Amino acid sequence: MTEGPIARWSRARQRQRAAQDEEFTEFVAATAHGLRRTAFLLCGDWHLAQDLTQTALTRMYASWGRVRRSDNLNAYSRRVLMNALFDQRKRRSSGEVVVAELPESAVRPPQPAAEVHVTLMRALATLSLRDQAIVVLRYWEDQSVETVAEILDVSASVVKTRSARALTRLRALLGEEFVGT
Amino acid sequence: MDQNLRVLFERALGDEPLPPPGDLAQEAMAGGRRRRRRRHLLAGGVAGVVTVLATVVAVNLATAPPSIPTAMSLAIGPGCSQPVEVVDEIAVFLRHDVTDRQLADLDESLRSDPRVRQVRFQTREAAYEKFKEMYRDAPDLIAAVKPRQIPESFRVTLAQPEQSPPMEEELRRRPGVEAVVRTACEGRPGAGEGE
Repeated sequence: MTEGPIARWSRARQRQRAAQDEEFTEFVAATAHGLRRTAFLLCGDWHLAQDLTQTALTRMYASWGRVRRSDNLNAYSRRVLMNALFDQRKRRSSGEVVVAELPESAVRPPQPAAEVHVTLMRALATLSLRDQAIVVLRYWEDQSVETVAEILDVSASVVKTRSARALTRLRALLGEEFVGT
Repeated sequence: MDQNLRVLFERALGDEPLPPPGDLAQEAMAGGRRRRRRRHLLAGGVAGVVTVLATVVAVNLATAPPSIPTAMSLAIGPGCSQPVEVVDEIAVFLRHDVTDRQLADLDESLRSDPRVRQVRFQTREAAYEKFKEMYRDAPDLIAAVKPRQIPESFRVTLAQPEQSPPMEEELRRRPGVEAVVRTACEGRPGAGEGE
């Protein structure tokens, strides 16, 4: 009856969705770890980093049919992550409390190596979020100047000048730590 | 110099905790689907898989605002004899004066309810199209029913059917809901299977 073509159509769609879901699952397996680390370097909080990663992946899945055809999915995921981070900052500065802290974070014991990395994280935190992103994407993720420009929606020359300035700043703040070790 | 910076980055990441339990991909997909549907819902577009029930209620609506018992009996009666694909779902018919807020609240709470396996939204337009198709040999009836008389509805599939009665009760009390009808009936063997 009338269900014939509709059922066929819906089965075809189901197959297509299943294939795309599989593709997305593989993408998450390959990306999530790096995405969370980058998020952490930019926010300094592992739980927030996890939330941001989840938000970014959720947003990507919501448009996966379009997003999956992107030339550079890795860069795209960073772009979505940055938007999530900018949104989060905006909400935080408008006074709304949005950071969902999981209870176990309170009981996690402080790590012995803490002081060392606090130094870099503190130094990074003195930069604007965009400059932090430039440094992390360029020097941690090894993204090209062009890709960083694309992720942050700025020109390549902005990336070059800002990263040079940011490095000078970091070097000044970190002193021998930067050159030594 | 960059190498030194890399070392510092690696140290900063030194106390990386294990990711929380749970399947990140699955969670992202569930969240992404909600987001996608909400987007469609806001755009007023999603048709979903059209089922037969709203049209049955529409027959009732053609004459007067539906009384809930009538709507239910009409919906369950002919609904079961139709070759419908869906055999066990709750149809949540919305009042004609349902507000956007009530609609969004219902949508949100249904989608976040752990007892719910699937939610579809059936638009007025989709229901009307289905209605016209079903009653194409009754032109008088079609002429008598205006699209705006057809109710919108959520189609809810539960993870466990035995949870249906309390769920129906809850839904009936929600603002903006006209009637809640469970369509638990035996699907015709092979109904909805094209092959």
